[in-house]
Amino acid sequence: MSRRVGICAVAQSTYEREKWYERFQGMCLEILEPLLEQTGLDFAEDTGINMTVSVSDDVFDARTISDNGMTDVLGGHLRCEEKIAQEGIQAVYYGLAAILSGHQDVVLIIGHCKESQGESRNQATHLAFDPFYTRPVGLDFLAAAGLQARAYQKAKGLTDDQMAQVVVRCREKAAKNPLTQDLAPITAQDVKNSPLLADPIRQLHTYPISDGSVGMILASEERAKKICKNPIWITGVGNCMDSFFMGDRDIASNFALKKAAQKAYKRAGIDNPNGAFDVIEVSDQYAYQQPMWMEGLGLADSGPDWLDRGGPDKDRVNLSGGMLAGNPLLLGGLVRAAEAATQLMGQAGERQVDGAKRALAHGVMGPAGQFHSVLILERD
Amino acid sequence: MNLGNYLDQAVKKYGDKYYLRYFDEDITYNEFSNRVNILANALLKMGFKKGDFIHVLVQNSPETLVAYFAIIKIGAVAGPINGWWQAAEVQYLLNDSQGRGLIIEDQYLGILDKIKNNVPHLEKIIEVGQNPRAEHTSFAELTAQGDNTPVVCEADPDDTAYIFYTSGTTGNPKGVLLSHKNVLADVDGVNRALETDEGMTILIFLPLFHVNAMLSCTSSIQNGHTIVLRRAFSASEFWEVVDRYKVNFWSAVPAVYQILLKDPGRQQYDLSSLQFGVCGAAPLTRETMEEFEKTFNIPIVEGYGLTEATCVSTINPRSGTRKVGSIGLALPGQEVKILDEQGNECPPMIPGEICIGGAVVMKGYFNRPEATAEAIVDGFLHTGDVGYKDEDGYIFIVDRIKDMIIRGGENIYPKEIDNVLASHPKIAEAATVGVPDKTMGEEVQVFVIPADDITEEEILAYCKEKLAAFKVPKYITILEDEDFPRSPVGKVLKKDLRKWGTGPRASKKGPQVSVEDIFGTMESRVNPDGVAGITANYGYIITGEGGGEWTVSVKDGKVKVLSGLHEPNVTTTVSAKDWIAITLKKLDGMTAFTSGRLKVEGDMGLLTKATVFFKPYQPPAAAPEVTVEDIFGTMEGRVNPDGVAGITANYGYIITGTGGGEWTVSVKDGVVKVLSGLHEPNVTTTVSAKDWIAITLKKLDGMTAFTSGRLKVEGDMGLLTKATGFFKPYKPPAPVKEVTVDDIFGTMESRVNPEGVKGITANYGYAITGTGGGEWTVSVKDGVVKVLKGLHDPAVTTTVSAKDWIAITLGKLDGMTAFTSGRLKVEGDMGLLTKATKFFKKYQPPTAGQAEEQEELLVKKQVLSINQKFSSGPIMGKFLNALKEKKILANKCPSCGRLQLPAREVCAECRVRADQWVEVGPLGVLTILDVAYYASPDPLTGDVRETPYCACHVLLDGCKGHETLWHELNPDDIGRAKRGMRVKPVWNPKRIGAITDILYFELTE
Repeated sequence: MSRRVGICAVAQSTYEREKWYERFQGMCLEILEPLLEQTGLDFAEDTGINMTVSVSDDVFDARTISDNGMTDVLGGHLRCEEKIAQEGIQAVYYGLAAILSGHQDVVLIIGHCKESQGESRNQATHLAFDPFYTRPVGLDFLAAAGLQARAYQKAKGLTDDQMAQVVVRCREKAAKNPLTQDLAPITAQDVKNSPLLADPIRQLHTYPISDGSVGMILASEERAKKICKNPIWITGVGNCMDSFFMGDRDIASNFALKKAAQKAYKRAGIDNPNGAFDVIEVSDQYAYQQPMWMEGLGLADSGPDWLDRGGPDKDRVNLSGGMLAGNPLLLGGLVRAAEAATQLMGQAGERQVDGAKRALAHGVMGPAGQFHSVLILERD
Repeated sequence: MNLGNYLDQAVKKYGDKYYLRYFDEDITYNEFSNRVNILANALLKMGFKKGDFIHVLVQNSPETLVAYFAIIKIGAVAGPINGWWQAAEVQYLLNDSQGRGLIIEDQYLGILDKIKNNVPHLEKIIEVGQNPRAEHTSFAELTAQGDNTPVVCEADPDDTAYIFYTSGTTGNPKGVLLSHKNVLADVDGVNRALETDEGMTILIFLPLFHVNAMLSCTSSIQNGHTIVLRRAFSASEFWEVVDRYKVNFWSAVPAVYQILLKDPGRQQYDLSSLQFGVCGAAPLTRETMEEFEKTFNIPIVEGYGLTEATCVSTINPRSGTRKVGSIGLALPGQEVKILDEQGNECPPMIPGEICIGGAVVMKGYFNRPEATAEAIVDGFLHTGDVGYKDEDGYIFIVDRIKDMIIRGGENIYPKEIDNVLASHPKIAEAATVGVPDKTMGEEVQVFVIPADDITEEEILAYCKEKLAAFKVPKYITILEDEDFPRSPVGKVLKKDLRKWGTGPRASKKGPQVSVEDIFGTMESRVNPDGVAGITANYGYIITGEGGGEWTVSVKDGKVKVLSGLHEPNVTTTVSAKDWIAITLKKLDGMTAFTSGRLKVEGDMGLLTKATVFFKPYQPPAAAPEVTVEDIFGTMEGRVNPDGVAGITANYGYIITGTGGGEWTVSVKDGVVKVLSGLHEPNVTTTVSAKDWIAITLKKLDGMTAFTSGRLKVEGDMGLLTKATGFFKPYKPPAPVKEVTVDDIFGTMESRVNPEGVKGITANYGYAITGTGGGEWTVSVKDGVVKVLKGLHDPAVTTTVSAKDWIAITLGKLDGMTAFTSGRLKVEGDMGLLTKATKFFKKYQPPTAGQAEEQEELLVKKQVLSINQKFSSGPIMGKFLNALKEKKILANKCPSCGRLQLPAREVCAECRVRADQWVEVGPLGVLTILDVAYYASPDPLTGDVRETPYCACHVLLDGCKGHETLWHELNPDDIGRAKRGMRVKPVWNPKRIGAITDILYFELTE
């Protein structure tokens, strides 16, 4: 990448089962204020922030073009505001593009999602399917994940024990992350005893419903260095969209993720990803996905065995607790990027990896991992 | 002499007199000449030269005339463009003339934008208007400060001065080249014929892009007339203008006289200055002329002419004998001959083609030597109009050789419209004719042979898109299965077509509605409520083909229809055609009465009651009406097993209005029973019959009907949503094929009702008379029914017409009524006959064959809903909660001090939390009012909502500037509400912490 783009500041809200006390506009304000405070930026037309990229979902917000109703809390009033109606990590890609194009020097990213607002998360993701072929058979993201989990089990021999292990470890890590929901430590047996949702996926294999918001400020190299001491550079990015129609896909193959990862590695100049990262954050919406995405990233070629070999700790995967510790679906990847950047900034508190210099963040959206994004961050 | 010298001479003579008076602009001859010279010099400077065509597309204004004369003065040719033309027509003109220049008024720039890339010859554009485009030369600038050195016109009298485009019989407009000599010759003729004095005032409102107004403005110059110039004809200002400027005469078209006659506003004006009116372009009716002359006490001088002969060729003399209906005598200097086909002059009273000779005959059509040669033979212009001269030499027009339509003075060439319509993919062929019209002289009517289903609206829309407004047909007749009248070689005989009239053509395929059928079905169509309490005999004399006399006798709620007139209390006389049209609601009865087509004798009051006696008449072969009864009646046959699986419930339906009733749909163990009446329903739906039919036919969405309050539900609502999947779609009854007597008898054996024929042994004979009739025997024995041709030992024989037999079978005519009225005769054992009514199941008319369903196009209905709960957050929560206490709180930006109403988290401008609170109001002042008038019910969705709705910005006490609260104003106050008035909130008695805790604001006084 010719012109470097840096992350200058990151802010996250807490993630809670239900932020009953705040509307989503107020949730964004919680992000806007600390970002301005950290950077000292304002919205002056010559020197300030002139572009906001928001992340929201009209169905979860129950509003058409929901960003239009909240430009004030996004700082977008009388400025340029653009919405990402895709997994939030794409907002980083969008902001990166805006800066690399030379149109903007500073971009504000704010994502929010209030999953608690709708009665059923599955009803919302059901609407992601077309009304003729796939909705009538009752698909939603959970059902699609069930299909994928089974397919992955069959292809790679992922076991219930291994999945339980992912969840137990997540809870341990989440305990060290003050932003996550208040999740009690559990045993593998607890996981196996939890209600079955979509065989083989059980309740505790599933990311908890949560409300929250997250944001960051991106800037061109020149500006970034003025805004903060140690900007976190975006050195690689790649994404790939697989077929919408699930009948066209081999859902156990990780096809799109492999493509996305290859692009990102190439851009970051990484020949062999194994051992290349100090911190890795993957969007494990369901327990089966952690080993599966790691395999897709080329970091666990032997498949689920990676779990048994102590891979998660060795590779420092999801020290934040990951998605299983609770982020809204829409923000999974953006939170991963925020976590990775926080680690590289050395601000991860109890979960900090000493001297972390390079991190990978992963986002995924669409039924059974249709769309994957891979982001590589480094610090000088 | 040329037109330039002509103007200069007049200017010398009349210099300080007004030439033009145009709204607040009074222009003397000197000033006009000055402007002409400035523009002429400017045009020369721009590089225009002798012989160039410079077109002018400017609505009537001094600029138009300045442009004409300036162009002519430099020896160039002025090319007026019809301001009513569409882009395509203007493009054609510019490419035909290949004119280099265009003077265009800004209002026509839209046309220019559409065509500017397709008019390669156009080099220079001068724009008339306030803010001309940068790429155009500004007319105002050219003439504001310019070189006013007199430009002496050096044109030869035979040089071309004007090119006027006029349509020919061949359809496409042709450029008529008029020389200086042509125009001056006509000017001289007109002035001599009208005997105009010096210094008269003439009113010009006809468009200057036609020769009529151009010539009037030119001929006025000769005697120093003053022209009162208007943009266009306006009835509302007409008499005021005549009074203000003391107008002496004007030139108009028949439509103008028609409209002026209808205008009562003239009473208040002094019209004593008027001397005469000129009428041209189309024949004036005798009625109009006489009435106008009587009303205004001035003569109308009728004239005749063509663009090809400059303008006027004949005129009734102003003094001397004027003959009504005549176009008058040839103008001085012109010779008008009536020639037969061999080119010989016709003797008086013998019609022939009107041919014009003299200096007014055009130079020719631009670039069309053949058309010119055809039009001008031996120096005489062949007009294509047929006329004759009377013994005094007055010319009368008989007909047009050309089929040209003249609508309100505008020539319309049918061929052009025919060609446009034929280019529509759904039209096979079209024929356009002119039909007489009181106001416009003629109106355009098109007859269309469709290639595919097409509606009048589609044809109209197409015409509006492709044709200038005045060419758009008023009458459109779509032929269903008829051809145009044609000559042996297939040419459409428009003469015959005109006789067809403007109404719809009876379809040979469609239902044959007869007067007999209308009366024959009346008894079965009685509306009990309509006839209640009426005792009277209504006589009907239906004239013309298919007519007759009937009496509709109403007594004690019963209706008998009798042949002939029987002591009628009131008698209606109307033609069979109109009676059918009234019954089918294609003609309004009251309109027919007031226009004299329907006459009434006797007690008129009784007649108005009769309008509700009967249910609507259904033409015999029309598609049967969809009834609520049919919808419920077919439900059991339409059950969708999967839909009803597992449901046990009674669904009640109260269908209100005509055709309504109560039904219960009982679902249990996958079986559906439809019962009349309400039977322990778990959920009851109440809806009008009309809406229920619409919902069933999927023309109205059930959910929309529910939310808009048109469909009401009581009981377990959840059950209702399941019901949507119970049934396969309802199919409206298919149109029936013609019912034949043959079919009725032919299907009898299959329709036997075993119960009905039990124990009967008898032969029933039927002698069915009339077309489609015959003789049959229905032989019943041991429960078996045989239908035989011919009469075989019948125990009882029924004689009835085929038509009545069909009506009886279809239930449209009651058998007993037919019997008592003598239309059905019985011989033999009458008792047997009454038993026969139960022999058969209902006869089902054959269906006409249903259209293939479009399998590949599906619509899936789905309600997308996710139950939601919304958090207010603390800021909005505080604001809303305060409303409970009748308090209005604003939150204040700590940075700029602005108050926000209703409260929101941040000041959008300062991007900081607005965290300070101030109580304001609750009274305030209106600042802005916005009123929306809704269509209610919404024509697309059926939604009903209160209308009008008034949104207001209220500056509550304690607020300033734009710190207004946006809410609703009491609709009752809309009429008197004004900015600055005091308003107060009207509080909801049940306040819950919602914006609707304030119902609305209303004026304090």
